[in-house]
Amino acid sequence: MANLDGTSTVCIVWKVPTQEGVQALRDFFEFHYTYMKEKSYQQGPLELIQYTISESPEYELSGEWHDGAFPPTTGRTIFTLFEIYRTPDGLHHHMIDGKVFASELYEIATTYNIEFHLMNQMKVIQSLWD
Amino acid sequence: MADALVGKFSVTFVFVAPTEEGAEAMRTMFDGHANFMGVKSHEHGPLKLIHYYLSEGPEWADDAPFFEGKWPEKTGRTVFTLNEVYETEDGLIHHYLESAEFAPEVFEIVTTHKIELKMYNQLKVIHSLWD
Repeated sequence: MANLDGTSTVCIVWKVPTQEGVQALRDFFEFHYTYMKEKSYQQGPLELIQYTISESPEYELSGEWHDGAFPPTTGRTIFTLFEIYRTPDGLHHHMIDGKVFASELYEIATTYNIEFHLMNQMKVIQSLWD
Repeated sequence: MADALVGKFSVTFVFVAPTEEGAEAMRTMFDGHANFMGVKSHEHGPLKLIHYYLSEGPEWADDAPFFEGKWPEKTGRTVFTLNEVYETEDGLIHHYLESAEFAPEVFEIVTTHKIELKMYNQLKVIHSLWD
């Protein structure tokens, strides 16, 4: 992939306390992935460059990683979403399009006591590789 | 093609700096870290680093206006997100062992400038677009 410097990103982190909440989000992401694949632009000024959703246990914040060890897990599950757009307009356009999902996401978060943080309209200032 | 990154391993850091001095300290640290990553990371093989990108933006006071095509107010804090994607779990573990030299500097900056730090490690990619 080409250097990403100057592109626009959104990152969302969900922290899910129960397996029921995890399953609700997994189901939502299946739907969202299909939507993104069908609706996103693969070229032009609104281009979506990359979209990833990742999942893991939540680990306690620790320096043990630097010793090659895994810290204890908290029991919660983490999901992260990254979307990278060619331009701020591409990301802005997606957020307006994504209004249809917003209420469902807020409802899932409320129902399952899911903590989430949205970090929007960020700009890539470093990237590898060229 | 879709799902090219499914099964890869990632780590995400979120830093929230309350002051411009803290943001500048982070930028300086990240310059050194980027050089380190460029020199030390594997471009091929089982320890391969696939993606590394660091983003910066203001912290927004509210999310909802974005869905209405509006821009919320800023809180005055600065957010950095760092995402690294590796070919394998071993690649990510190996990176942590090698990057131990950065940890004290990062924690010192975080403490000195009262920066919020969140780390989400050993994530597995479950959906991705495109190639």
